[in-house]
Amino acid sequence: MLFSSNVFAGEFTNSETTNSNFNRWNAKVYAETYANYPGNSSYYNYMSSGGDCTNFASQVLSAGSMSMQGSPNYSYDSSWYYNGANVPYRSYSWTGVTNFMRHWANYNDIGYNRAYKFRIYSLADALSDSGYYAIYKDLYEGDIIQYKGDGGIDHSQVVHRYDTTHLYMAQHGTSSDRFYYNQQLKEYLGWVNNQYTNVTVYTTRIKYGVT
Amino acid sequence: MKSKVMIVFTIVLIILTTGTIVTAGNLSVFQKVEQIDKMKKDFDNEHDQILKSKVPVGEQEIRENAAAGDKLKEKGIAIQKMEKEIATEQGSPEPTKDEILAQINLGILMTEEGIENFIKNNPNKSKEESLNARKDSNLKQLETLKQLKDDLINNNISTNNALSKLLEIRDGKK
Repeated sequence: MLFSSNVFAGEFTNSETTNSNFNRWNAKVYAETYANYPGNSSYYNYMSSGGDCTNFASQVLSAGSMSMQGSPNYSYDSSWYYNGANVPYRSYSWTGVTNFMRHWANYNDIGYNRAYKFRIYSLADALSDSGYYAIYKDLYEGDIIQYKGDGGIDHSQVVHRYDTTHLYMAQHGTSSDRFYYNQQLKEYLGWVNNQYTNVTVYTTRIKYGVT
Repeated sequence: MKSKVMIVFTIVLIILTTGTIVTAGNLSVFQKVEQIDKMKKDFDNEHDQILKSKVPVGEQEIRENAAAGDKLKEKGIAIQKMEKEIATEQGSPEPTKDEILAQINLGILMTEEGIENFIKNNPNKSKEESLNARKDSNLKQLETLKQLKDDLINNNISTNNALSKLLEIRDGKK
């Protein structure tokens, strides 16, 4: 596709067959293998240049067989690829929180909406029993949670595991001690609530199937 | 005579059925814990099967696969609700020292990140001016968390008290 479709949407649910080739097991294994510092040396580490969180989320989706597309149109919402550290060899959507959201879903109603489902929660909703149950029920291995809010939070995480009670998140960050996995989502939300205000939580389910 | 027998039989059946339902709805805490353990094992087995099955391709297969996932997550939510009921009846199970230390470490990471973000967004201000969402000093919060970590590692505070203090730092006084 040459031009971004810029579909106007907000929350959406696509067809049940959207991204049906995505392999959650492979995404999970990759996330657990490369979450801890220094990650996979085949990719540039953006830890000291804005943070590595979305680069890691993109790597996980790629490991789950989501295909790169759009090279060399690095700024289009429809593009998502990595062939090297800098543009035009990678798309903005590979590393940027907002650009990633505008490829897989949309931000402020503008985006390519490539994922199966996208939901938006206030932090208070995400922390409430009903909001947490909804997020817990909706997301599986390889799905994405992103955060934006006052005080500078601008972050992407990947679900790599769940049990009867928790979703567990894997992430990279702006320093080596912020590369980790096995983090319970609810605890993380509690500390986000301690630090930041006006936080919005965005959940992106890549495909309908759960395997 | 035959109809009298039928009436008695029906009454006995109603009593037995009602008794069974009342018993099921009034499980002791011990019985509930046992039931939850079994449900958790079933959950893990089903989860493992789903995760390791082949990726569904046809529409029908995809729908069945997603429905299996939905059903599993509903079981998880049912377990979460039962655990909450038990916690209301006899308090939450106390987390281990390692679990509390992991929570404190996350608090330290998140507070340090909050301070960094503050400096990034306000290059002319100092770390001392960084506040958490409740408008308390982040540097003071960081110091308190590090002290709490030391106290817990050196057994100067019980796990129960450490948890209460941690939650107070994170969520404010309730």
